[in-house]
Formats: sequence, C-alpha cells, structure tokens
Amino acid sequence: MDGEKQPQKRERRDKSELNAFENLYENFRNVPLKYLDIFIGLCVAALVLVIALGVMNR
Amino acid sequence: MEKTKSFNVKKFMSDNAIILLVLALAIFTGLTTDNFFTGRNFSNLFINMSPRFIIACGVSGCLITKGTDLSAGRQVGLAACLAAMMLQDITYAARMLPWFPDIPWFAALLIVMVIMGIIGAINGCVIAFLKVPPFIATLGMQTIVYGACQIITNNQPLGGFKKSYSNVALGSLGGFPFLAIFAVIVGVYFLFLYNKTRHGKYMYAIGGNESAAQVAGVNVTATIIRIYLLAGMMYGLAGFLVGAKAGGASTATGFGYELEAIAACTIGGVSANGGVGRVSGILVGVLVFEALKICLQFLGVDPAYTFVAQGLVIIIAVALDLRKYLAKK
Amino acid sequence: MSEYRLEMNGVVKTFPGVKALDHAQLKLRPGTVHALMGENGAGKSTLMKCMFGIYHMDEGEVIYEGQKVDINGPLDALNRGIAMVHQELQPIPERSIGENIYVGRYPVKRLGPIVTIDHDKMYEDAARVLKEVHLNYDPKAKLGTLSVSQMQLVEIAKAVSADCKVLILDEPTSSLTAAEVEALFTIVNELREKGVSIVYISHKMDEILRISDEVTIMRDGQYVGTWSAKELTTDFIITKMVGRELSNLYPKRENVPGEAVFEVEDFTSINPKSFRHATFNVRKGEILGVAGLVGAQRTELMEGLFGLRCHSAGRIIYKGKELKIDQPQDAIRNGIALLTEDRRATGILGVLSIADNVSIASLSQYLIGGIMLDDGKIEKLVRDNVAKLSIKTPSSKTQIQSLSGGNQQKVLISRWLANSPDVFIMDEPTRGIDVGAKYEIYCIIAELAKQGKSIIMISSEMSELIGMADRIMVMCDGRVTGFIDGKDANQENIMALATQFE
Repeated sequence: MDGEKQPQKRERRDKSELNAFENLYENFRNVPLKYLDIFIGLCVAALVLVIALGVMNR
Repeated sequence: MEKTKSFNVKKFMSDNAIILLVLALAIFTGLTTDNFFTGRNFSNLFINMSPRFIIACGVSGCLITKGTDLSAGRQVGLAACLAAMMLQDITYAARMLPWFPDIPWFAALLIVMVIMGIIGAINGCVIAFLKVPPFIATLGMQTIVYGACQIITNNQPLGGFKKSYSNVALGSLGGFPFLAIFAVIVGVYFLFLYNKTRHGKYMYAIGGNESAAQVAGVNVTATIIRIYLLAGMMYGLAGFLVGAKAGGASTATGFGYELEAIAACTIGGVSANGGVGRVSGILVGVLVFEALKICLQFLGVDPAYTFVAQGLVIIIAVALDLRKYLAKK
Repeated sequence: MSEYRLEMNGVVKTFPGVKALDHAQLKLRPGTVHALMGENGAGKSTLMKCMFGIYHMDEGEVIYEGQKVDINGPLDALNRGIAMVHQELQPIPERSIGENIYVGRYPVKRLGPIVTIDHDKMYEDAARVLKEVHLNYDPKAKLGTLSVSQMQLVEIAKAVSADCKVLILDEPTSSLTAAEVEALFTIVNELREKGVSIVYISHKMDEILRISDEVTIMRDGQYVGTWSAKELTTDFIITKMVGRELSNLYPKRENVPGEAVFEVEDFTSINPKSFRHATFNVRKGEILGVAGLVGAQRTELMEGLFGLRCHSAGRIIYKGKELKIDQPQDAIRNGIALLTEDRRATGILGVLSIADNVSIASLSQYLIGGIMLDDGKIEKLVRDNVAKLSIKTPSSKTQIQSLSGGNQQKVLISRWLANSPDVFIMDEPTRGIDVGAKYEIYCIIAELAKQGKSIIMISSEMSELIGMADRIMVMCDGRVTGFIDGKDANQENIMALATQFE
C-alpha cells in the first residue's frame, strides 16, 4: 500500500513549500523529449539566423 | 572503468552543445576578422570575465538551493556607486560627499562588502524566515536597491576617482591584471567552500531535498541566510571592481547583470532544479557567455542583435538542462 | 462473451529500481466481490492504477467484456464503466457535493451555441444517487462540511452515479467507523446484486472473509493464485501473502531489554486533532513497536519527538535528564535518530552521492582545524558502512536515487548510525522494499537492539510488529490506547486497541 498515508503526506508538503522553483522541472514531466529536441533545434537555428542577420546588417 | 565505456558522440554533443556552438562561432570569427586570436584580446576577455565570474559565484549558491537572486545586478550598481562616492579624488571639484575623508581603497572595499552583505542577509532572512519565494523576495529587493541607489546619488553619475582606485582595475601584477587576481581568489575560495566545508555540503543537501536535509539536522534557515549574505558580499566586491574598471558609476551600472550571471551558471551546469553545480562549471559558463559577446563585437554585430543572441543562448541552456533532467528518468 | 467481465493478463510495470508488477493477473466475474490481497508493496494499488489507466503498463493486456481494450486514463475508464474509490481522496472541499460527484462530466444544456451546466439536473441526479447509497446529504452542501469518512462514501456515490460495471474499492474502510463500515457493506451487497463486479482491496481479514466471493493474492508484484473465499482461512491467506512460514520471516532476536531510558510524558501537539497526552517509555535494548490505523498520528508523534512538529505540552526524559527539543538538531545532539516514513520526500538527497548522503548528519565529526572536511575520513565511513550493512553500490560517488529501495534505506540507516544514536526511531522501515531486503533490515534492527540501542518502530504491517517487537504500543486517533507484550500480541488484540475511538 504505497499510498496509504497520503493525507498526512500532503500536510507535510505544506510545511516544506519554500520556494516557487521547487520541482520547477517536474511541471515538464509530460513533455515528450522529441518536442524538446525540436524546440532546442529551432532555438539554435534562430541563433544562427540572428548572428547571420547581424553580420549582414553591419 | 570509465575507459572501457565507448565514447558517446551524441551525448557529448548535447551535454556541451552551447560550448561547441560558441567555439564554432569563435573559430568563424577568428577566420573572418583580424586580431581576434591575440594576447591583447584574450587579456580583454579575462578582464571582462572577472567581475561577472564573481557575481556568478555569488548567485550560484542561491541557484543550487533552488532559489534565485534577481537583485544581483542592482546590488552591483549600488556597490559601484557607494565605492565611487567614497573614493572620489580629494581634489575633484564635484565631489558628492565633500566632507568624506580620504580613505584607502581597501577600506572602502571593506565598507562596501559589509553593506552589501547586510542587504544580502536581509534577502536571506526574508526567504528563510518568512518563506517568501526567492523570486519574489529578490525582485522586491531589486527595486528597493535601485530606488535607494537613485536617492543616495541624486541620480547623478559619479566620476573623478582617485588614482589608487582606478589602478585596482587597470594595474597588473607580473602580467596578471589585478581584476583577474581578484577573480582567482574568489574562485579558489568558492572551490574550497563548496567542496570542503559543512556549509557547502549543507547547501547541496538543501538543494537536493530540503525536507530531507532538515530531518538530517541541517540548519536550513542559517544556511540559506549565509548563502544570500555571501552572495551580497560578492556583489559588493564585483561592484567595486566594475566601478574601478569603468572609471565611473551611475544608477545604470550593473543593469541586467543578474540575468547574465544566472545564464552563465545555467550554461555551466548549475541546474535550476537544485542540488547540482560546480565552480569549474560556473567558470566555463562565464567564459562562454563573454566569448559570445566578444565574438559578436568583433564581427561588428549591432548590440541589438547581440541581446537577441544572448537571450537565445539562455533559453537553449535552460532547455538543455531540462532535457538532461527529463531524459534521466 | 467470456465468463469474466474483466481480465488482466501478464501485466508488467517497472519503476526505477523496482519491478512493481511481474506478470500479475486478475479475472473478475460479473456480480461478485473480488478481494485483492497482498502485503504492503505487493503491487495491488499499482495493478489497479494500471487497470484505471493512471499508469501505463509495460506489458500485458486488459480484456473488458470480451474485447481487448486500451484504457487511456481515469475519464476513459469512467466512460467505459470502470470506477475507482481511491485510498487517497481527491475531493474539492470548497465545492458542493453534487459538483464533486459530477466534476468533469457535468450535465449540460444548450441555448443555441452557448453550452452551460445544467445545475438543476445535476443536483436532481446527485440527490437520486445519494439516496441510492443511503446517504442523507444535501447535494448543494459544501463537501468540506463532511468528515473524511463521509467524503469516502460520497466518492462511492460518485462511482455509482457513473453506472459502473466494475468498481474498485481501495482500502475503503481504513478511515470508517464500525457503523459506517456496515453502511458500506450494505451498499456493496446491493451493487453486487445489480451485477456490478467489485474489486475490494483491504488488509482486514475478517472483512475479506465476510464480504468477498473470490480472493486473489499477490506477492512482490506476482500473481499467487485465486481462491473461492469460502475455502479460505486467515492462516492460509497470510502464508500465501508472505510466501513462507511466519516463523522464518524474522530473524531470531537476542536483545535483552534493560531499564527504561527514554521516557515521554503527556506529549501533546499544538494541533488539537493530532497526538495528545502521549505517555510511554522505551527500555535500553528494546524494540518498541507502534501500531495504529491510518490517521492514528503515529508519524506525527514521532516527528514531534524529533522536533519536526511543535508540541504544546509534555516532557521528554532521557536517562533521567529532561531534553528540550525544538528542532531536529536538538534531537540529533541528544542521540536520537529518525528514519522517516517517506524515503523519497524526507529521506534521501536524491541527486547527491552516497558519500554525501551518509555523512550529512555527522559532518561535524570529520573536521580538520574546525573548518575543512576530511574527505579521507568520510570515505572510510562510507566504506565501513557499505561493508557492514552490505549496501550494493558501484561506488561511493553514485547518486543515491539510482539505488534500489532497500539499499537506499540502508544508506539512510548508516547516516544515522554515524552519529551513534541511543534512541533510533524508525517509521515504516520496510515500506516499499522487496522481501529479501526486508529481512536484511530486520537483521540490522535486531542487531542494533542487541547492542543496547532503544528502537521505536512504527509499522502498518501487523505481522511485522508481532514478529519484531518486544512490546507494542497501539495508537488510535492521536491517543495511546494501550500496550501489548510482543509475545501476547495478535491481530485481534491490536485491532481492538487501534479502533478504540472516543
């Protein structure tokens, strides 16, 4: 019975809630890695593009 | 044991993606422009890095304990203004505090670090005792410090420093710029603090699991206050150096430094999820960030584009860190 | 169509470090109550969560009404007629009972393009459903006005309202009073007559034998067998659940309890609903078991003694000296250790190394010149403990979260042993640990007691308390209701004290 004492556990969590960043990354638990990879790829592409634009516009 | 493991190219690429990107950019810059790979340019790079490394060291403790410090940049600005007010040349006509005695630069440094330490300790107390989320607490402090800085300087830029103060930034010892020496001392101190003292272990424990650290007898409150206090002192030192290097200070000094520092830490592997981070990583992070700026400067890219590029690098760094975290489980 | 309403075959589910389900199976006939039994961590709840679509199973199939189905989540399950009353409730106390019953599937009415919730219909339906399960509550009242057990009955009403064909009751009686249990059984019997298949998870043998038609027993995530309830005896079920004879399950204890060293007098929480007037003592070299139902406030009491929770009254006396404990550091300094109940939340420092995890509570012992930590000493401490408690780990630099539950627990035990405590409080020391490692933990506990340490062991597994403790303290609803000598203890006399509500 792994969840047998849930109500008590919840009580304890209130006590230790110290900051907004706690388990920040847990919020992304359900994001597929593939999407994240695509996102990173897009950002890298954008970075290269921005630098290229900057070089051309000088 | 590690030797037998086959070298995983893909993992290496994703672990060091940003470093590789900036390295590629540096090579590109070196090939297309003159005078990039010169001693003078590298010395310039190290001088630029020094105060930023000190700030990043300060903020790293906050990040490792799952906090943050948004007041870092404004504290640097306040520190620079305070140092400037105390160290204006006695013969300078527009001295802001004509009654202030002529004190040696290290006395002023000490005073600045104490004052900034107090501000940091206030941050720490608000976070540790009142349980205000660090994001909110330090955002408030950021605004307060900015306002305070405007009040004490009357919104006037400060200049006319005495020679000994300017020399702190411009001078060198046996070829090493003073600024770099300060940074090395801070780096060694943090290396020792994070790896060889109880404070360091407690800090990592709180970042890893605060409730568990508390059960294990870690004085969470005191540790968090110490972290923010030390951070404040580092901003004080950095602000002192930034002022000396710029030869002047104003309320605008230090603007945006907190984000640069946080970004450098993240690039260097200080996880925003807490419990992880090394001093060597912070150094690499600062190096990468400054190298990016210098490359773009050499390529003649407009500062507006530079900001966009810096922003993208920060986002990529956090996304990669997140990816590492998610892929592990 | 087969004779079964729902079949689960060959279900495999792994969590990091643990194989929670290893080819488990379950076959439900229509119109029966099917008890699912097993020790803590046998995988009962996990299996149900797989059926309900909360977990995605790694292998295996679910056949529902003759068809292979893929259940995507709780709402999908509910739409198919599978409902579950969770161990842990997920109520919205600030909304009405009716809304809680229909949350996520509100009846709607359409005014042209605008879709609104049909509150009238919702409350009418809710009232009807509540009547069906013999609850006289106003569906418009806030759920928060009910007690926890009443909320549990509302949860059952919610399941009934979905016209379910399969109803899962996970420890439904754990917080109910005797009268409420009777009410629940009436509802269960009515549902059975209507042809609903009910999965009934409980630890209470008498309930199982009374209400169920069939019993499936699980052990360590594996399927042991299914029997008709009429053929079963309590002893047979326990033997099947633990998988070996009870006498071999626990190590032989050689500890000799001495004089009382740790005394607690009238210890009372600042929270009136929590522990109050707790008075007990622990002798030198004694294992004191602490029994009680969920909500008996055992964990809270121990956390209070350790300085994690505030108390309004009471004294803690150790060897005749009164201790003042306001925070964990005070307790640790006085030689008290606490192995917490929830390893993940309040035990391990997940991303840190084993060396850091072992040394964190005793760092002050390894200082050079009062400042610098002696890595050599820490390394030696870790090596000693890894050998002594046979912790299986590649190196002392390994992150603790990559170890199995049993090895994590041993690391935490060695963390405290580094402080050489005299009073060692262990809260559910074997929860979520596989059977082999459990035995090793028992051996460690027995060895510590033999060395003269006083052990306080909380456990929800009564067999564990009976097998390990010299004396059992029973708590109910925040009060200490009695003590039983280990030799005389059995399920019945513990339960009698554990259900002594005021």
